[in-house]
Parts: sequence; C-alpha cells; structure tokens
Amino acid sequence: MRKDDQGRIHLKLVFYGPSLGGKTTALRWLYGKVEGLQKGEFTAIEDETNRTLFFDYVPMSAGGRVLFDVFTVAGQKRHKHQRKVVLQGTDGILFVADSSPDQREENTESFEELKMFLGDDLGRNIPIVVMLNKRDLPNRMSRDEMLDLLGLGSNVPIYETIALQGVGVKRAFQAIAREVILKRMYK
Amino acid sequence: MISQEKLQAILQRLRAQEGVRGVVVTTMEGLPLSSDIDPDTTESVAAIITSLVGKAMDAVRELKEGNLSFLTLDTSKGQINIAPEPKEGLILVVLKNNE
Amino acid sequence: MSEPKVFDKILTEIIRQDKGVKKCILVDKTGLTIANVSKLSAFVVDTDSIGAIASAVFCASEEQGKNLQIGELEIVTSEFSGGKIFASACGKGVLCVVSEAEVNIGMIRLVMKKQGVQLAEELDKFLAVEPMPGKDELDEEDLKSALEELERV
Ligand SMILES: Nc1nc2c(ncn2[C@@H]2O[C@H](COP(=O)(O)OP(=O)(O)OP(=O)(O)O)[C@@H](O)[C@H]2O)c(=O)[nH]1
Ligand SMILES: [Mg+2]
Repeated sequence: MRKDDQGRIHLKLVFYGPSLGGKTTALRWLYGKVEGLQKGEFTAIEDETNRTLFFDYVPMSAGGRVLFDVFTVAGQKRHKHQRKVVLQGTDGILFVADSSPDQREENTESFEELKMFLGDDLGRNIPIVVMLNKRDLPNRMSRDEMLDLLGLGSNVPIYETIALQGVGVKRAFQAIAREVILKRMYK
Repeated sequence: MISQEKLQAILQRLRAQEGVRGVVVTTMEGLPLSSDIDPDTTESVAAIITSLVGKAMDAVRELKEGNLSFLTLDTSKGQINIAPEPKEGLILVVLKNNE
Repeated sequence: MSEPKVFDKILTEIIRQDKGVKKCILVDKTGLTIANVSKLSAFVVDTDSIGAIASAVFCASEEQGKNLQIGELEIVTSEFSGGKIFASACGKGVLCVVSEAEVNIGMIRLVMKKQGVQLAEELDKFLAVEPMPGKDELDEEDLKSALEELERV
C-alpha cells in the first residue's frame, strides 16, 4: 500500500504466470470491456509479436480514493530479472495458469519462481488468486490436475477463465482486489 | 575539431603559468573533458560556468553586440578566465590566484 | 508524514535550474508517481505511465549493476533525437527529469545530485507510515467504500 501526494491509497496488483498464458489478454479485456472501472492509459512494453518484454501497466479505480496499479509481468524465462523488478512492492497476485497440457512444466516453473521471489509473504501478507485460463481448449487439463500441479489447496480462490472472451476475468479481478483491501483493513 | 595534441599543448602552457590554480575544459553540454583539479570541483565548475556562458551569450545576442569571446570574473580569491569556443563546442576555464 | 507540498517545492527548484528542463517526476521503486512538476509549455502526457516506466527502467539497470557487481547505480541517462531523460537514485525513490535535447547535462546532473539528497530525506519521511490520530479511520473509510464500489463494477 502506498499513498500519493493527494493522499489517495494505491494498491499494486500483478498478473503473474508463464509466457503466452493470457496475462496481457486478460488485462486488455478488463481495460476494454469493463465499464464500471475507471482507467488511465494502457502502457505496454512488448515485442513485435505482442509478447511482453517488461510489463503492461494500467491504473484502475472502482471510484473513490483507492486506486489499483495493475501490472502484468513478462512470462518468458529470460525475463526473470524484469519480473523481480515488477514484483517490487506488490500488494496482490493474480496467477494466470495455462490449461494447455503442453504447458504443465511452464506452469509449475513459474509458480515456483513466484514462491521463491515472495517467500512466506505469498498467500499471507500478499494475497493470491489463481486463474485457470484457456478453459475453452478442447484438450485442457482438468481442474483437479492443475490444482495438483500447482500444489494448491482450498485456501486459494480459483477461477476458471477464458481471457480471450473475458469469461471469469472480471470476477477474478474483483476477488484479488477484495482480498487485498480486506488484508489492509484487518491486518 | 581541435586535435588532442594541440589541446594538450595549450593546457600545458596554461598550467605552467604563474598563479594558475586549475584549468578545466568542458563541453557546451556542461560535461568536463579535461581537468587538473579534484573531480567534485571540476563537476561544479563545468556545470555552473557552462550555464553562465549560456546566459552571457544570450545577453550579447540580445544586445546585438556580436559574439561573446571572453569572460573574466574577478573574485576575492583571484580570477576566473572563461573562453567559449562555440565552433569546437568547448569552453576553456582557467582559475587563477591573486597575484 | 511530511507535507507533500515540499516535493513540489524541490521539484520546482530543479525545473528552474535550466531552461531546457521540461518535467520533473518523483516515483517510488514500485512504479508509483508520488509528485510531478511541469513547465507550462511542456507536452501533456500521462504522468502515471511515464513514472511507472522511469521507475522500472531505473530498477532494471540497478538489477543489471548488481548482476555485474559494478556498485551502486547513480544516474541513468537516455538520449533521444528530440530530448533527454535523466533518472537518478533518490533514497527509496527515483528522481526523473525530462529535458530538451540541447541542455546543460552537467548542470542537470549536479542539481539532481544536490536536490536528490534533500528529496530522499523527505521521501523517507513520506513513506514511513506514521500513525496519525484519525488518519487510520479515514483510510478505513476509503477502503470500505472501495470495497462496495468494487462489487458494483
Ligand atoms: N484459446 C485461448 N487462447 C487464449 C486465451 N487467453 C489468451 N489466449 C491466447 O494466448 C496467447 C498469448 O496471450 P498473452 O495474453 O499475450 O500472454 P501473456 O501471458 O501476456 O504472455 P507473455 O507476455 O509472454 O508473458 C494469445 O495468442 C492469446 O490470444 C484463452 O482463454 N483461450
Ligand atoms: Mg504479456
């Protein structure tokens, strides 16, 4: 939690997860399609194939004096140091897992890396919500298989999403925003 | 642009003169190129003298007095001689002690 | 907590030092823009995203320096055909100055270093969340109403 010079509260949310999992797609959908959110400009630092090189960033607000600074990380393995930079001061994580069966390893690697970066804070001081994305794929992994893969229990909110169509994205976002606010109110 | 050898020769000559405390050459961007005094003072001299030269040039231009060729600051410690060389993009600064 | 106006005062001081300076932004290392000052004539831009990139670029260079073990990062200069961007370490934050292409670089560096010290002190005070009477309840009000707004989105 941070404050700006006008005394407004800023909370930083970060979309994390393997490359091509759908982080940017989900954020773009929130940006373009959710009318109840007030948004600033969309900043994207990406290559010509639209893969994120450093981060995407949009400031958002549901009204009032609380703002969410929403970032996505660059999922490709070589951008590890950029991810560390983007994670600085994060208040909450939206982990976007890829349901394609060929992304098993990428999912676990990314999740392990996140745990390594945030340590004990993850899930305690820094709430996490997980999106199982690309649920439209015919050969998608089952929900249980994915939760097993990531070693997730019932304590983490899980949302099945199709970022391309926006299915479940708004609810996942509301969930992490809510968790983060509650964490601040009853810390 | 002036050759390094030529520049070094000029600096040598200046430094050898009596009462000269320091000689600094800076770019018109305020970045020091050569200096025989400590780095912190050099940085300040380069930045502040460049800014002064810019203002003096503006003044000369406004007054339609041609081009600025030389500036001398008389101080209680001595003298600062400033020679702007816009063609080279350089400013020569010589710090002198009181006689 | 220190008076936010103090940031504007220091940033204004920096912007006045050289006529080529167009914009000064103070960001923290999470990418949040804390304060900014612009010359009237300066282009209108989205300061939040400028701040986010400035912070990230600085921190990325810092990370690079750590990997290469070449010490502390002091200043990052980006030169464009139509202008320059300077970013310097400033305690828990990053001080960012945007200028025209033709500018007294030495002066900007000097001023950034000098004012950076004072700015860093103020920033530390500002970021140290000291509980003030009545302030926590205010924050709680803000958070509560955000929670309600969120459900309506
Ligand atoms: N079928 C399907 N494809 C999706 C879905 N969400 C995203 N995609 C596709 O996945 C590809 C990658 O999406 P991005 O959002 O760019 O992925 P990213 O996680 O930001 O990737 P990095 O920037 O490399 O970390 C794009 O071609 C999307 O169209 C989904 O729900 N279903
Ligand atoms: Mg992306």
